[in-house]
This record gives sequence, structure tokens and C-alpha cells, in this order.
Amino acid sequence: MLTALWLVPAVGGILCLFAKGRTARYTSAAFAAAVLAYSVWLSVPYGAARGAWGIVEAGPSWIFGIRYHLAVDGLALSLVWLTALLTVVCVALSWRQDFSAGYWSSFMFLEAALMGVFLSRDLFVFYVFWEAVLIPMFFIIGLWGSDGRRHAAMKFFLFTFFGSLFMLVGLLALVTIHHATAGVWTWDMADLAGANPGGRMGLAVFISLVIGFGVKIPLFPLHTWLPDAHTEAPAAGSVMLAGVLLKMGIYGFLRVLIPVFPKLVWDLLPWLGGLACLNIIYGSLCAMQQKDLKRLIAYSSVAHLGFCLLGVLSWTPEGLAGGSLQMLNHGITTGALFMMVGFLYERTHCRGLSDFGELTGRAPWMTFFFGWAVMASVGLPGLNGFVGEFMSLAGMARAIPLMAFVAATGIVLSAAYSLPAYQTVFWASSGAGSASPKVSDLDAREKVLVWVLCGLMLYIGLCPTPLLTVLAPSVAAIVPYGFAP
Amino acid sequence: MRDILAFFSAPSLWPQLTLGSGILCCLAAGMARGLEAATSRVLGTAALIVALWMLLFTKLGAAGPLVTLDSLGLAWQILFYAGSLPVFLSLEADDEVPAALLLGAGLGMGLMAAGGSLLMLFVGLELASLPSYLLVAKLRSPSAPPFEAAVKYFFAGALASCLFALGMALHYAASGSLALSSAPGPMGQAGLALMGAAALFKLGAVPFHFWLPDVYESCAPALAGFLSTSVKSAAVFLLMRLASIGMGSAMAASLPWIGAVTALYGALLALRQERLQRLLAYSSVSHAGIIVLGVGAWAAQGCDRAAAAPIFFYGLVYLFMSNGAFFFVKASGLTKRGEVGGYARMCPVPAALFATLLLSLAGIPPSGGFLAKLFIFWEAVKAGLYLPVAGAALAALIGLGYYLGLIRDMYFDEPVWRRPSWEPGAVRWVLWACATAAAALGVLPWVFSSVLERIFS
Amino acid sequence: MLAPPWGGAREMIGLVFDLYLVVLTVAAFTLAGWFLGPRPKHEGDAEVPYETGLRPFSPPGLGLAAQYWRFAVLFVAFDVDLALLLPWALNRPFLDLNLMVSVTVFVGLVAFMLLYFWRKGALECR
Repeated sequence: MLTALWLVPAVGGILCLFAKGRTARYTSAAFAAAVLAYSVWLSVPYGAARGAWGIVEAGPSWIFGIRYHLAVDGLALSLVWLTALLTVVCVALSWRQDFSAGYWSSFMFLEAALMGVFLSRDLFVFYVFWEAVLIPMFFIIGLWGSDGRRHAAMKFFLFTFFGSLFMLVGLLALVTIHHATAGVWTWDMADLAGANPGGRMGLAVFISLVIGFGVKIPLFPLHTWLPDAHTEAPAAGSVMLAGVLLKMGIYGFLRVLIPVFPKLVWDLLPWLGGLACLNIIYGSLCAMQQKDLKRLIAYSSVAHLGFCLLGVLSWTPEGLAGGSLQMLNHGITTGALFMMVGFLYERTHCRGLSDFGELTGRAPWMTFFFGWAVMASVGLPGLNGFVGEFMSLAGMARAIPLMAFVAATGIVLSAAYSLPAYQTVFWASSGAGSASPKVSDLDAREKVLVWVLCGLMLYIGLCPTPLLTVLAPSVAAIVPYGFAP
Repeated sequence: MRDILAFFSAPSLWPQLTLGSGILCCLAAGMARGLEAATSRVLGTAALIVALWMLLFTKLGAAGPLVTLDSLGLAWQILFYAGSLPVFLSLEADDEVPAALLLGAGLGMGLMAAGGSLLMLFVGLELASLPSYLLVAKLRSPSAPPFEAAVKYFFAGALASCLFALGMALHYAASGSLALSSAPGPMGQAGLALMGAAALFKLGAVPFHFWLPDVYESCAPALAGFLSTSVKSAAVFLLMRLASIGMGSAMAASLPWIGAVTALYGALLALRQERLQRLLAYSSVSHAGIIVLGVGAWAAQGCDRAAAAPIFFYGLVYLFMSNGAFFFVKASGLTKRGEVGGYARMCPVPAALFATLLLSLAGIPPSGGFLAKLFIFWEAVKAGLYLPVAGAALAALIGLGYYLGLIRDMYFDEPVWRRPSWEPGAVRWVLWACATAAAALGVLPWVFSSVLERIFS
Repeated sequence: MLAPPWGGAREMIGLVFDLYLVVLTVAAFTLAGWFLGPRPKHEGDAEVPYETGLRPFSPPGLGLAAQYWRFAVLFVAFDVDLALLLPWALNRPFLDLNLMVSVTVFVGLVAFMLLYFWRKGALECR
């Protein structure tokens, strides 16, 4: 049952490769919509199962404990919904443009690989899907991106592969150590949970895994691939990158790192939390310097994910729930922001802040919705960003209040970079930029997309309870690993 | 009489006998007037296929003091014979000599696989090497200087043979026999080290790799594929035999480090290469390093025959990847890295095949190359060799620089090569087969694991 | 099991030392000759080989035609064949069918190779 979630997009990707002319986009749209419908429908059997691991699908054991094992709990299900939704958004976003068949099939393969990451319960399958994400994204950035795409695609691939190599050696060492102590070969996440290898070996494995996941979060010193990749990718590529790929890192933290190394995470909590705070402060400060709209939003992603990580590291129920929720929120919000920057780029082929200005008259709807998304990203109460950030901060305040204080200043900084940018691009009346005359308002398709995403922002902001209920069992399963009260 | 009949009817030697008669048939076909050269190619291919088929019927065991076939030898013969097949399909020579030479090399490797004594290993090694020298001289790449690479290969190989013979002599002096058993004392260790050095020489490991890039660059691409797969597998097999003789020795302990250094060295030097065949040569040095790391890990865990499966799998996947890569170079006519730009826009299907092969060579999931590297790394981690694994992983990352760089140039750049020549015929089928196998072995590993279990148990 | 006639590693030190002395002596004499001897004169005809006052007609060395190399290789190949047949010739009891069959196969292969060389023209004189 769960295999269909990644197999269907993969098949769709293969079919798109052979499609001629405009059939490719229709094929990909059909498959993306089918996957979205299926993933929404999955909430029914999940709700009926009512356990932390709602739906499980296991295959036969292969060698040395590797099994094809997929399962879904609240956290994974919500990320599956996010992936499916953002894929549909990407397909709809690129509809008007003339891309070759490879573009549509790349997005299908990307969706398949991402689904696989979030679904897998076996570390080997997890790793294979984690790596398989790289190839479609490499081609998306490199073939259909903007001017610096060659360099950005290589940097993205090499950087992520560097982290993944650390992750691979770390996983191999973890499985071998577990075999040495427990006598049985297993790659299953549940079996390895609580393994807690100690000593220098355990620390080395922990650091390898932190590097592996940290490249994707992106954690402070390992984030340098992100601005280039986000800026040079096509609009839909940026949406998927920011919306889903960045969540893989924190998902890895929640699924693998914290359950397997609870003691080490607890001991090194000040360091990891410090890095997360650095993410927030550094990302915000860098964002304030940017003149390119996409680069600004990319750096803001660095900052927002620092928030998610902080919430997760606080290890309290509200912090974990807030961090997980903020993952979804960030996906929707930043996805919407990149989408609208994509609309601007499609019309004008410019991204600079100074290229625009005085757009309120020409494109009032775009101004309105962009402002909505900016407010959600800043954390205005009533929209989704506030819920996530508030809960993360509440959790962190209970654990290490100093970091909560530092992180709270991050909220102020996020306003400091987002609002002036918004003002310069849309409202500035000191003379319109060169690109402004070419900007027209949103058309019907774009309005639908924007309404969907902004509506979700409002809904989650006002009633986060359903989503939190879905996430609750996963959060509750992680909290006991910790030593927090 | 009984001995002779027993020898010739020993099932352990049927593939080798098939190849021997294949050589005779090729030469006879060459002697007869009125038969075209293609006949010898067909005969050679048939001999190889029959030899492969005979492997199904060979029985393990000893057939005399010199011949012992065990599961390792059986498995590696598959690699030897299958690695020679693609070359036959692309031989363009106008006489029967290359076919006979290739079969001769295969026979030598088969004798080495069935060898139960150091003497047989040496005879097999020589019989496999001498035709290779001649083949490098005969099947040349069009732009290479005439015999320089062949002479270089000859001298390097002769040096390796000298080292092996000297090692055998010391081994004999220390233990009194040339059987495959360990020789005590420092002289035995010295002999083992010399023989190991000879094997590393043929493998192209650092610091004995200096002949490899020139030879691979100057010979025809299909032959380079043969050299990098069959001959390398032969050297790996020799190394494994030697490691199982001297398990706790210094040679076996140094293998992981040699492997890691070789992998790094090959990867770093491949980054600088402008000519495609030379780049593939250095990349094969890098892969040889990873295999040596695998052999070192195998030796550190006790040389258990059933545990040699990861090394065999790597050899098998590498067979497809390397042959495919060299065949692409042959079929597309590209020689320099600068000419690769924009190739995907002009010939999308060949570029996709090459991209698949490159991704497999780099070790990106979900390809076969990734699984092969994974198993070798896993064996090394199980043996506790963390630092060599880190070195090999770093080499894999550096390898990405040129593999991914080639993909990037093919897809993201504007077309520069004005005359794409995509050669039709058998070469295209070989390329398709290799690329499909390289990808499939990653996605359908269940196929191989059951087959391997049958072979190795 | 053969025991080495010398006692082991410790006794080899004498051999190693001896080798050392030899190398040292030869090197010493050569270097002494180079340093102490007269400087060679490189002027005029000092380096031309002496041939009773006449200039040499052809370069020193045998100057064989290259085709003789082919016969040299063929000779070596069949000489090795002969060398491998010698133990058979010296040791055969008459009625051993085993050995007869094996040597017949061997000689048959060599004869096949001779036929191949003949047909391919390796035995031509031109």
C-alpha cells in the first residue's frame, strides 16, 4: 500500500520521458494529482489504525538485516502530504513555460525519491532514497536553472554527497557496533533505537551522522550550498528545494539521531543548540545584506530551519511539536514565497530588489498575497509561522532559556530583513525599477495556487489542532528517549 | 594412462581445455585460405561462451598436484571469460591473431584460477600477460604512437614476473615446496611480500601504477576495457590467493592502506586529465584501490571463501561499468574532455547510457556501483579498518568531481563537437547491455544474491 | 622438507657483509681512478677507434640484417621445445602409455605451431 506512494511517481517519471510535446506535462499533472489524492486518502486507514505507527508495509529480509520496510506515522504522513501538495504546486507553477519532457519527469522522480525518504523504516532503504534525491535535483538545477546553474548544481551535488558519505560510513559503523553488542544484524530504525553506542567510537559515529544530516538542514558551517542552489534553480525547483528537501535533515534528526543517540544528544545539546542559534542569527544577518530576492529568501530558510532545529532539540513536548509543525509551516510559507518570486521572474526575468518598485497599482493581488506570505514567514499571530515559532520558543525556554532569548531576537531580525525587502519590491514609491512595467497581476491559475497556499497558512494559524493531533503520537514517542522533564 | 585420461576428463579443467581447442581452431581458421578473418572472431566468441557454459558443470576439487579448483576459482573464471567477450564483438583486425591472443590470455587466467600450486599461478600469470603485451601492440588507438605503450607494458610486466619468480624462490627456500601453504619465518614473509608486489604490479596499485595510464590510453578502447576488467580480476584473484596463504603477514596487513592510497591517488590524478581514455585509466586505478581495500578487509577477517562475495560482486559490476565506459569512448569517437560538451543535446540516448555508466562508476544510489562500494566499505568497517574506509570514501567523493563533471559537460553545456559519429552495430548492443546491467544490478540485487550464495557455498 | 644449508638469518650476515665489501671496493677503485687519473682529452680524433690510421668504413658492431631476428626467435621457441623433450627422452621406459600419450600431444601441438608458421610465411628467407 505504501509502495504506491513512491512507485507511482517513478512510473510517471519514466512515462514522461517518452512523452512527446505537451503530453509530458499532462502526464505529470495526472500522476501528481493521483499521488496527492492517495496521500490524503491514506489519512483514513491511518486514523483507523490509531497508533504511533499507523500503516506498516514490510518486505522480506535481504542480507545482513536489510529489509524493505516502509511505515508511516504522524510525522511521516504530514511530510508525505507536504511533498504531494508541493509537487502539484510545482507542476501547476511551471505549466505555462515551455520545458522539455525531462523537466516533468525529473519532478516525478524527485517526488518518488522524497516519498521514499519519508516512508522508509529501514536505514538502508532510507539512505538509498536519500541519495536518489540528488540526481533529479542536479538535473533540475543544471538544465533549467538560471545563469550560474552549472556551478550551483555541481556544488549542491558535491556538498550533499560529502555529507552523505559521512552518513554512510556512520550508518555502517552503527550497524556493525550494534551487531557486536547485540549479536544480530539489523538496519531497522526501531531495533537500533536506544542502541546508544558509547565511547570514542560512538562519538565518531554521532558526528558523522550529524554532518550527514547537517548538510541538509542546513546546519551552520555546512550551509553554503544553499544560497547558490536556491538562487539558480528554476522557480519550481526552488519550491521543492526549500519546501521539502530541507526538511529531510530535521526528519533525519528526529528519526535517526535522537532515538539512536539520546545520551550523546543530551550531552552535546548546548553545542547543537548553539549551532542552531548561529543558524538563526547568521542566516538573518546574511539575509539582510542580500540584493537578490531569491537569495534573501534562501538565507531566511537557513534562519527558519534553525528555529525548527531549536524546537526539536528542546526535547519537550511543546518544543518537539513546534519544531515538527514549523517544518510544515516553513514548507508552505517558503514554497509560497518562492512561487511568487517565480511569478515575478517569469514576467520580467529579474530578481533584484532594485529592479522592482511601485507594483501596488499594477499587481494588487500579488502585493497582497506576497505580504500575506511575508507575514506568515515573520510570525504574525493568526498565521501559521506564529504557532510553530511560539511552540518552539516555549519548549526551548524550558530547556535552555538563554537560547530561547537568542532565538527570539531572530524573530525580530526576520522582520528586519523581510519587511524592507517587501517594501522595496512592491511598495517603494521612490521611482519604479526597470522591471516594474512588465509586471502584470496574477492570472486565474496563479490565483488558485496562491489561494491554496495562503489559505493553508491561515487555517494552520487559526486551527493548528488537527495537524498537531496528527503529529502528537510521533512527538510522544520521541520525548521518552530524552532525559528532559 | 589413467592419469592422463583423468587429467583430461577432470571437470575442473573443461573450460580451459575448451579455450585451448578454441585457440587451435582460430589458428587453423587463419591458416586455411579462403576463410575470412571474421570466422576467427566467431570461433573465439563461441569458445568463450562454451567455456562459460562449461563452468556450470565443473566440479570442485583437486585434479593432480598442480590443479585444484575451489569456489573462488570457479567464480573468478566467470569474470575472466565474461570480461573478454566484449572485446571479441568489436575486433576489427584483419587476421586471426588477436582472437587467438585473447583466447590465450583467457586460458592463462583460467589456469591461474584452477591453480593449486604457486608454479601453476606463475604459469597462468605469464600465459595471461604475454598475449596482453602483444595485443596492446596490435590493437592500437588511432592517435597513439606505435609501440611505446606496448614496450612499456612489457617491461613493467617483465619486472612483475621477476618479482614473482624471486618471491616463489624465497617461498620455496623457506618452506620446501611450492604448494599454496604458508611459509614460516622472515624469508617466507619476504617471499610473500615480493609475490604480493608482483600482483599489485599487475593490478596497477600505487606505487606500481606508472605503466597503466599510458597503456590504457594508447590501446584500442575495447582492449582497454578487457585490460581493466579481465586482467585486473586476474591480478585480484592472485592477490587473494596470496593473502590466503599469508593471513597474518605484513603484506596482508598493508593491503587496506595500499588500497586507500591507490584509490585517492587515482582519483586525484584523474581530475587533471584532459583525454578521456587516460581519465578512465586513472579512474580504473582508483577502483583497483577500492578492490584492494576489499581484499585487505577479507584477509583481516580470515580469508573465508564464502566471504569473498563482495569482491566478486565488485568485479562483476566493474566488468559492466568499465567495458561500457570504454565502449562508449570507442563508439562515440570522443577523445578529449573538451569535446564532450553538449553531447547530450546531439545524441540523447548514448549520452543517457554514458551518464548511467558514470553514475554507477561514481557509486551513486540506486546503481550497481553503489551497492558494490557499499559492500566493500561494509566489510572494511566490519574488520575495523576505519581510516582506510575514510580514505576510500574521500576518493569516491573526489571521483564525483570528474564523473559528475563529465555528466555536467554533456548535459549543461552548449554543443562543441561538430561531428558526432555514433557507430552502429555490435558496439551499440554491448553499450546497452553494459549500461542496463550496471543499473539493474543496483535495483535488482536479489538476483545476484541467490546466485552468489549458490556459487560460494 | 629441505633444510637450508646455512643456519638461518644470523649466518647470512657474513654473506651480506661480504657483498658490502665487494661493492665498497669496486666503488672505491672506480672513484679513485676517476679522481686521481688524468683528464681525458676530447680533442680531434682522440675518440675514434684506431684502425691502422684509416677512418672506419662502417659503424662498430655486427650490423646484422633485421630478418635474422625472426629466425633467432623461432630457434628459441623450438629450442625450448627441445629442452622440454629432453627429460622425456632421457627417462622413458618403453611401454608406458601414459608418457607416450602426453608427449604425443605435446609434439603434436609443436608440429601444429610449425605448420602455422609455415603457412603464415614465417619460414621464408626474404
